[in-house]
Amino acid sequence: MNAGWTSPTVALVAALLAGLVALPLLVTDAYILHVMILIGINVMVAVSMWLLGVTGLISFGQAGFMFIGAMTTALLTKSLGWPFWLALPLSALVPALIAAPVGRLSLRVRGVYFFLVTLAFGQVVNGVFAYFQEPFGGWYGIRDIPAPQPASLFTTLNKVPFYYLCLALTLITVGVVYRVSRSWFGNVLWSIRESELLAASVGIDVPGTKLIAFVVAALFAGVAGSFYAAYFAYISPLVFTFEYSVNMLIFIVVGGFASIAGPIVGAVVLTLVPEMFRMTGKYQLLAFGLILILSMRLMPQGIAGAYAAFRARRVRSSLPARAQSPGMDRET
Amino acid sequence: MTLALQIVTSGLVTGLIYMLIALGVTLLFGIMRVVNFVHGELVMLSAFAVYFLGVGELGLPFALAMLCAAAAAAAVGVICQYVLFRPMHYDILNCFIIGIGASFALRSASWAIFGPEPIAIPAVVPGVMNLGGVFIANQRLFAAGLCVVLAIALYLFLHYTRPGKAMRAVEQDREAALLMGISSEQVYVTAFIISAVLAAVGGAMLGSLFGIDPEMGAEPLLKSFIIVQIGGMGSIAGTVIAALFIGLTDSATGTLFGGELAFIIDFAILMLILIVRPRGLFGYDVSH
Amino acid sequence: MNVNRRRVLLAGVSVAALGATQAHAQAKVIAVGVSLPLTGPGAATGITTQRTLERGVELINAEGIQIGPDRYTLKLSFYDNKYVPAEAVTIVEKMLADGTRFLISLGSGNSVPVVAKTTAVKALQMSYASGKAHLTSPDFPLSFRVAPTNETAYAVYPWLRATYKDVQKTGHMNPSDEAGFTESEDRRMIAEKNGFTNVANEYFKRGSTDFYPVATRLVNAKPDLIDFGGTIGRDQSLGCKALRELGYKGKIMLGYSDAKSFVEVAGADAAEGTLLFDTLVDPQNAQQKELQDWWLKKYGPPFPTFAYSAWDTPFILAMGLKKAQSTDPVKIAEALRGAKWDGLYGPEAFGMKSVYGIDTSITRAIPIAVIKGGKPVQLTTVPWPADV
Repeated sequence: MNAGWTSPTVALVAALLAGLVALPLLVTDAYILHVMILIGINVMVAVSMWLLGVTGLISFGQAGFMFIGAMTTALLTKSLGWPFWLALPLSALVPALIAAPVGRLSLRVRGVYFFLVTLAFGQVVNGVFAYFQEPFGGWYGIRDIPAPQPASLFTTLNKVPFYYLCLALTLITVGVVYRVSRSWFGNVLWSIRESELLAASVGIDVPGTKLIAFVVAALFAGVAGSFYAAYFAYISPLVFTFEYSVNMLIFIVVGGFASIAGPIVGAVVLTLVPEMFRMTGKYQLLAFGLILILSMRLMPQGIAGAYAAFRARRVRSSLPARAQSPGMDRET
Repeated sequence: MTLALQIVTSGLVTGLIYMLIALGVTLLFGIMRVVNFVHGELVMLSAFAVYFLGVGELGLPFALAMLCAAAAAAAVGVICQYVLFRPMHYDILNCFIIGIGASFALRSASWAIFGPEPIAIPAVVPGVMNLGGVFIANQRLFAAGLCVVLAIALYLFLHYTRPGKAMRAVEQDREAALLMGISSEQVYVTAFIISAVLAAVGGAMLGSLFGIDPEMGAEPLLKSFIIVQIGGMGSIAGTVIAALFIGLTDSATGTLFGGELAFIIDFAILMLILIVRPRGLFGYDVSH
Repeated sequence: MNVNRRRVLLAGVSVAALGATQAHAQAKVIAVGVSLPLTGPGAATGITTQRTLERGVELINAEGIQIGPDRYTLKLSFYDNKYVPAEAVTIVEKMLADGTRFLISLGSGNSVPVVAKTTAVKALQMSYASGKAHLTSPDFPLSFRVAPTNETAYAVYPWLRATYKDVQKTGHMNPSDEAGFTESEDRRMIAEKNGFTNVANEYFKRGSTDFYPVATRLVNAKPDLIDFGGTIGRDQSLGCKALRELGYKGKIMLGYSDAKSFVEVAGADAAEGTLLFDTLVDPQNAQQKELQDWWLKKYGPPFPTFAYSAWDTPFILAMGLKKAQSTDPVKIAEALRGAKWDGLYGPEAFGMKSVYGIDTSITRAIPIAVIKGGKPVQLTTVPWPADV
C-alpha cells in the first residue's frame, strides 16, 4: 500500500505545507487570512464527513454535531469562564458522546433512510438550540464568545494566531483521518462500503465499525465547531443549517470520493468560488448551482478523481495492453 | 371545545394541501428512488405561471391558467429527467446533489427574473365560512377539495389503468416488470409528468393561500419528504394518512405551544418513525 | 531588437504619464461598503435600498463633496449577505481588508454581529436595524442607526393612547429572531408605559406559510389591537389574513411595509383598517415627490415606501464629511453625534441619548397610514416626542 506516495506527490504536499505555514509572513491582507480560515473549517468538516462516506454512509447531521461542539465551547468559555484550551477537547468529546446513541439508533436504517434520519437529527439539534433561549440563546444565538487565551494574542484585530490555530487543527484532523483511512481499520471501512455482506461474512462487526466511524466523524465536527465559536465569537441557529450540511456534502462530491484529497480539494474550490463571485450578489447562488450541475455531469468522480484518472491513464497508456485494467474505485 | 375543533379543522385542511405535493414526491421516490429536489421549484414556477397567465395581462380564467401551468410544469419535469437525473443513472445520492444544484439555480434565476415583491393569486372562492365558531376560509376548502379529487384520480389511475399498473409493477420489482415487457423508461417519464402536474396544482393552491415568492418551494418540499417517509414510499394511502397526521400535529403544536416548536416536532417524529418502523406506515419492507 | 525595446519603453512611459494626468483630473473616492440581503429573506428591502442609495450617491457625486482643496465622490460597493450573520461578518472582513472604512448595513442580524469589529477598526457604521443597545451605545461611538425600528413605538404609542380611547388590551406578534425579540420587548414595555395591558405575545418562525396556529392563539387572548412589530414582508400579509379569517375584529398595526404588496397578498378585505406606522403613502412634500417620480419613471410601479427611509443615508454621510472636513471616520462620527438637519421627513436628528446613552439613533416625524378601500391612505404624522 505504498503506491500514491511517489516523490512528486511528497514534494507537492511538502511544498503546500511550507506555503501554508509561511503564508501569514508573506500576506498581510486580513481578508485572505479570513478566507483561509474559512477553508480550514470547511476542510475539517468535509474530511470528517468523508470518513463516514468511506463506510458508505452519508450523514446530513454533521452541522448538528458542529453546532453541539460550538455550543459546548460557547457555554463553557462564556458562561463558566473556562479557558478555550479546556473547552476544545470537551467540545470534541460531547458530540462524540451524543453520536454514540444517536448513531446506534440511526444505523438501524439504511441508504436513503439514513440520510433522512441524520437530516432530521441536524434539524432537531438546530430546533432545540433555537427554542430554548436559556441557556442556548434561542434564535438570538450566543454573542461575545471569548477568544482563546492568551487574550492579548487572540485579539479582534490580529488574525494570525487564529490562522495558525486553525491550520494546526486542520492538519491534525486531516492527518488523523488519513491515518485511519489507510490503516487496517480504514480497510475495514472500505470493505463495508464495497460489500457489507462479504465483510460480515469474514467476521467484521459491521454495525460496530459503522458506529465508530460515525462517532469519529462527529468528534471532528465538534472540533471544527469549537474553533468556529472561538473565531467568529457568535453562533446561532442561522449558521448550522441544513444548507450548511449540504454544502459540506457538495465539497466531497465535487472534490471526489476516492481519496482524502477529494474533500480537501472540494472544500478549497467551493469556498473560494463563492468568495470570487461575491460581488455579483444574487447571481452567486445561481453560479453555485450551475457549477454543481456541471461538475456532476462532466466530472462525476470529482476533481480529485478526474485528476487521478488522468494520471492513471497516462501511466496505463505506457503499459503493455494486457496490463491495462478498468479504472479502480480507490487509489492504492 | 371550539379551539380543539378549530385546530382539527385547520390541521386537516392544511394537511390535504401538503398531501398533494407529497404525492408527487412519493411517486418519484417510490418508483425510481429519486429524491427530486427540483420538485419544490416546480411548485414555485407553476405558481408564478398561474399568476402571470391568470392575473397579469393575459387574464385567463383560473382553470385555463392552471392547465397551461400544468403543461409547462410537465415539460420542465421531463427536461429535468433527461438533463439531470437520467445522466446520473438515477443514483440516489447523485440525483440528490444535482437536484440541489438545479434547485439553487432555479431559485436564483427566479429571484433575478421575478424580483422580490410578494405577490399572490386571488382566491377563486373568496370569503370565510363560520361553522359555529370554527372558521375556515372558503379558498382553503376549495383547495382541500381539489386535492382530494386529484388524490382519488391518482389512486384510480394507479390501480385501474394500464400505465398506472405498469408503474406499480416497476415500483415493486423493476426486473420482474422488465421480464413482463414493461419499459421502465416509459414509466419514469409518465411518473415525472404526473408528479409535475401534481406539483403545479399544489403550487397554484399554495399561491392563492399563502402568496408566491421564489423561496416558496422549500418548505412544502421538506414537509413532503417527512410525509412520504412516515406514510411509506410509494403508498398513496400512506401519504394521505401521513399528510393529515402532519397537518394535525403542526396545527396542534403550533396553536398550543407556539409556532417554532412545530418545526422540531415534525422532524422528531420523522426520526422516531425511521427508527421504529423504517418502512413507514404502509411502505414495502426495506431491509435490502 | 534595440528599436523594439525603445518603442516599448516609449509606449510605457506615455501610458504612465497619461495615467498620472488622469489621477489629477479625477475626484478622490471614498469607498462605502453596503451589506444587505439581495437574495433570501429581506431581499425586497435589500434591492430597494440598493437602488435608492445608488440614486442618492449619483446626486451627491454630481456636485461632489468639498473637503479642503479636494473634491470627493462616494463609491458604493454592494455585498449580498443573504441575511446570514456569518456572511455579514465575512463581508465586513473583505471590506475592511479592501481599505473601506464606511459601512451601511441592512438588517439587525447582519449589523449587530459586526459592530464590535467596525468599532475596533474605527470604521463608521450606519445601520437600518433594531438591536437596541447592542447596536447604538456608548461602547460603539461610530455606530449610527439611520432608520428607527422599534424606536418608532416611542412616538406611536402615545398617539395611539390619545387617539383610540377604547383600545385597552394589546397583543404582539413577532418573528422568532433577534429583531423580533427586540421589537417585542420594547413595544410591550412602551405599551405598558402608555397605559395599555399586554394580553398576548406570540412568536412565529420567519418565512412560515401557515399562520393559523399563531393567529388562533392571538385571537383567543382577545386583544383590541395587535402590533406586528418586527414582522415584515409576506409574513405581515399572511398573519393579517389568518387573523381576519379566524374572526378577529380588532385593530392590526404594522410597519416596514410595502403597503400595496401587503394588500395584494392579504386581500383587500383582510387588510381593511390596518394601521401602518412609519409608512409614507403619498409624498407630503416636494422632495418626497421627486423621489417617487424618479423611481416610477426608472423602475415603474410599485414604488416601495422603504425607499423613503433609505433615502437620507448617503446625504447624512455627505453632511458628516462636510461638517468634519475630514475623511477620518472618528471625526465624522463626532460631527454626526447629536447633529440636526433637514431631511426627507422634515427636521431630523441623531438623538435618543435618554434611551441609549449616546446620540446616535435617528429621530424624526413618524407618518401613519391606514388601509381604506383596499388602498393605503395617509392618516397623520406623529412628531417625535421631545423627551426621548
